[in-house]
Parts: sequence; structure tokens; C-alpha cells
Amino acid sequence: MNEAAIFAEDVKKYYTVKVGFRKKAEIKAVDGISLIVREGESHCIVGESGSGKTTVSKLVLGLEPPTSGTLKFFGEDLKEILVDKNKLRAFRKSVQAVFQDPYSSLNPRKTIKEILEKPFKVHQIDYNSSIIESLLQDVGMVPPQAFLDRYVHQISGGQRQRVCIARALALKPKIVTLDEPTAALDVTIKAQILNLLIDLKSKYNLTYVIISHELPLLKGIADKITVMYAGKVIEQGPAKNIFSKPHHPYTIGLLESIPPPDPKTAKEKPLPVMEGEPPSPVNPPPGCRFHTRCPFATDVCRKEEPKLSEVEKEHFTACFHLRNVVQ
Amino acid sequence: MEVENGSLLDVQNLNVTYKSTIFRVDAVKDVSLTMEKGECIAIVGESGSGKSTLAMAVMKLLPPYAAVTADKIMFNGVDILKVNDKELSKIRGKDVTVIFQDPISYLNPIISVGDQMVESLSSHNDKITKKEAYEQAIDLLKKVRIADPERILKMYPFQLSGGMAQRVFIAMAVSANPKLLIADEPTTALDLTIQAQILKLLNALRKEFNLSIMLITHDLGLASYIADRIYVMFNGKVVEEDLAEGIFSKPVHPYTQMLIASSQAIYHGRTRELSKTISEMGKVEKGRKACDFADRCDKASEACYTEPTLVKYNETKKVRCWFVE
Repeated sequence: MNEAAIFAEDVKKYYTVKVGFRKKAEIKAVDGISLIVREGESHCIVGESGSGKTTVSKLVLGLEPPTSGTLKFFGEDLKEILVDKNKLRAFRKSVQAVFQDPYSSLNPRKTIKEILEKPFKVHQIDYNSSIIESLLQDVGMVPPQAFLDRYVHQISGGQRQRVCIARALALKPKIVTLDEPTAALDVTIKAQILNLLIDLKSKYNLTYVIISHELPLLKGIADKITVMYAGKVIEQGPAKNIFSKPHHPYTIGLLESIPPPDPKTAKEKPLPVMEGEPPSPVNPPPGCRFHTRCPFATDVCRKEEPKLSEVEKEHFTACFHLRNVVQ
Repeated sequence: MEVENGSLLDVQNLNVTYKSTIFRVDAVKDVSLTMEKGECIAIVGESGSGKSTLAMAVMKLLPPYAAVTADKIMFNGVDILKVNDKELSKIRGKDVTVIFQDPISYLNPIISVGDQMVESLSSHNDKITKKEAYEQAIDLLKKVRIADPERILKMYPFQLSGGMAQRVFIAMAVSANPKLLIADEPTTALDLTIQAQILKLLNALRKEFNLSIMLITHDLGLASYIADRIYVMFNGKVVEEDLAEGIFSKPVHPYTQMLIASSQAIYHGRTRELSKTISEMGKVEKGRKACDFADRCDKASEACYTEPTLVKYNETKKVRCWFVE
């Protein structure tokens, strides 16, 4: 049960971009991250735009090879998988994705039936209508017969996301990456999709990699959380610990910068504001990447880069001033 | 024009219909709202509920195929329904300004931030020289907490980050000392920490400029942080209105209850506790007219085939539902 579904060690992904006529620059989208996702776990990657979280999802999907570092799926190296056709086919089957925008990730010219048949056709697996119907049933689209012949524009946003989830589950994958699965949905639908994901996880025995920028949303679903900032992991650990006792000043700030949906608490407790903006990934600041916005920053932070250290069991934080911050 | 008495904005029975040869959408139905000077209201609803259309209709900012009818739209003593375009354009951008979700696309990409700000400043003040306008732009950017205004003024919109662009946009919006600021999902495109910065800024500017803010949002967290009163919209209609505290402490309409329950469950990570019947659809017989929400409502019954009207519930609250104890 506890085999590592995904094992990443010091994974880096740099992109080269043109910044002038001949000049080139490197975007350090992911700059040395390590994580272990055990089978059956939901591992959430949290960060702001530009923190590299979507790049991580691309790496996990095997869409792009890492620039350096090791990335293993159930013990097999991604590099070997990518060169071997048979292995790649099996890999593509076992790792599936659900994206943020259900409006653009479904083909508008196909019916829902055709959309759900596609994965079987691509992988040349036998299927019949009862399989397709049970998929729809599982994602809460009942009665399934009513939806089979509809086109995407004929169903609501929440239902579209359900179809996306059904498509991802069609081939009984082991790992599903969910890139901001609820960001485009209305609040009431958000909660439903979240509950659906929790149910499906145990039913299909799935491992989730969830990418999100909304921390509170993950409370109900996450087992482990990795907080990223400018391409680096700054805090990692069991979700319970991260929510109840965050250690890194950025995680604390992120948790507190969400106004609670309740006017009493929202107006009494003013929002603590982290000044400044995330640094550019082309030219990240030296030392700790968060020092430009950190209220605790000292000279050490500007020069040296903090390493991840274990603050509690399996709970890691990269900060020089842990003692001050927690107080 | 200054009016001592009366509300800042008074809208009665506003209807907006988008029309073309092939379709007709009633986007806003029978909405009345009032705003006092210095008050901040939030219009909350899901996508497609008509909240943006409502805000734009108030200032007649909708395209020609949108038919706007109302019994009354009074802004600061001016009858918006009667004024001509010339007078209206004096009010827009001066007394009423709008900030949008995606500020970068509303700024001209080939003109520097400084030139755009100078242009907008001189358009409402004929006497100002270019140099004075530039100085004023620097002051404004300082007011929206931009640390190095001179550098930002030389930049082009695409060089700005989302948060920075929204600050520039807000600076331009408050430049003419407006009375009403319409903020249409101002932080949706921004990161959480930047969202917190912008929220705090709006709250500070509100006091500094004695601004009234109309916030259009789907996020109850933002509404609770900033709004004095909240209008909840569903399918083009206001289903509940009350002081912010009243909406949360005693939500009466089933949709409001559902909205609050969902957002609080998400905030506290307790979505499992939400009732499961929420998504049941298809209760309403096809072809029969009914309350818009009946299809998703767990209280729906035969009575809901007659459309409810917005009725007074208590001193501050109005609700559109038959099942009000």
C-alpha cells in the first residue's frame, strides 16, 4: 500500500526563452524539488502563479522530461519510460489528468458518449455502452442515458467537469493529476466536485496530485501538502500539520490572506498583508527567495539559501528563523 | 452637481434584455437597489446571475443590443434615464468609475502607463498642463501604495504584473475623486496574497476618498470583508438583500443558505458535512412556469409554481421566497 507512486529527487525544469535579438535567458520554473507521493495519497501542491506548480504537473504527467534530477513512477525512471514505446503506452494509461477549465478541455463537436469512448479507442481496449454509462453514474450524472447524446454546450459547468473526471477515470488509472480542478466553478458546485473527488478516490483506489492556489479548499481532501514559492519547496508535510501549525512565514501569510466568509470575523480581524510580489523566475533573488517579502528577513536570508529541515515528523520547512516565526 | 438629501444611487425595477434576431435573454429582472453616500454594497451571485450586467446597466455601459428599462435610475440627483450622452459621459469616469477583473486588457498596450494616466487626468480637467498631470499621476500612484511611481509610469501595460496593473487602474479610477466606484470582480485574476493587498487598498481608499463601492463578486469572503450590505442574485433576480451581518447570521432564502453553507464548508474544509441532495435536478415539470430556484431547492413544492415576489422580511431584509417563516 505504501509504495511510492511518485518519487522525485532534486527535480529541475528550466525553460530557455528569448529576451532580445540574440539574448537568451533561463526560466527556472522548478528549481530542485523533492517529493514522495505514496500510493493512495492525495498530495497537494500549493503556490501562487509563477511558483512552478503547473510545471510540476506537466512533469508528473510525463509531458515534459525534467532538465535534471530523478523522477520515478512506481520505481521506474521517467527517462526510461519516455524512450520505450510500450512502457510509455502503459504509463499514459495509468496517469491521467483533469484540467482547470472544463469549457476548453472538452471537444465541442463531440457528444459526451464520443468523448468518453475516445480513451478506449486510443488504447484499443474493448468497451461497451454499460461501461460508459457506469462511468457517468460514478461521477454523479444520473440518469446516464439522458446525457450520452448531449453536446458539451448543452450541459452546465459543473457537469462538464464531471465529464472530464469520468474521462480521466475511464482507463482505471493509478494516478490522477488535478490542475486547479474547481477554480472555474461556482461556490456551490465547487463543494460538490470536491466531495465527488473524495468519493472517487477510495472507489477507484486513486492517487491524487492536486495543484491549487486555494489552500482552504484542500483541507477536506489533502493528505500531504507541498507549498512552493518561486520554483522551490518552502514547506512540505502532512496536511493536518500545515493547516494547524504552519511554520514558514509564507505559508502563514497565505493561510491568513483569505478573508473568511463571515462578516463578523472578516471585519474584526484585518487581513495581514504580505507586501510585494513574487519574484521573477528568470532572475530570482539570491539567498532565500522569499526574503524580499518576508517580515522576518535578516542578512542571512539575503545571502544564504535555507535548506529544508524537519521541524516535526515528516514536516519540513526551509527557513532560518523558525523559532521567531512560530512565536 | 451636489445633492444634500437622498441616496447616492436609486434604481427601481431595472430590467435588461439582450436581444438579437435569434435569441432573447432576460439578464436582469426587476431589480431595485439603493446606495447611500459612502456605503459599500456587494452584489453576490454565480456566473450568469446577471450581477455584472446589473452594474453596467446602471451607468448605461451596455452594448446597443441590450435593452434597458427601468422605472427610475437616479444617481446623485441626476436622472440617468433622461440625460443625453454628452452629460452622461461627464458623469462616467468622473463621478462613477469602474474597475474590471482583467485590468491589463483594459489598458492600451501601446501607450505607456504615464501617458495613459496623463490623458485620463486631462480629459476631466481642461486647465491642467501636461506637467501638472504627470505630477498628479505620481501622487496617485503613491496613494495606491506603489513604491516607485516614476519607474512604473515609464512602463507599458504588458510589463506590469496583474496586481500592479490593478493598482494603476485603481489609481486612474480614483483620480477624479469619484463618488461611486464599481468594482467588477477586481481580484479574481490575482493571487491570494495580492488579492489581500488590493482588498486592503480598496478599504483604505474608501475612507480616504469617502468612496462608495459597488463590489461585484462571487466570493462571499470578499463581500464579508468589504460590504455593508449584500444583494444576493440568482438568475437575474435579487433573491435576498440585507446588511452583511444579517445575510450571514440569518440567511432566509434557500439559495443564500446554500451559498453560505458551501463557502463556509470550503473555508473550514468540511465539505463532507454538506447535505447531498443539493444537486438533484429536474423536479420542476417542464413547460410550467416556476420560481427560478425551484429546480435546485429542497423546499420546493406546489406553491413554487407561482413566482414569488421580493417581500420585506424585517427592517433591513427583503426575500424572494414563499417559505419564509
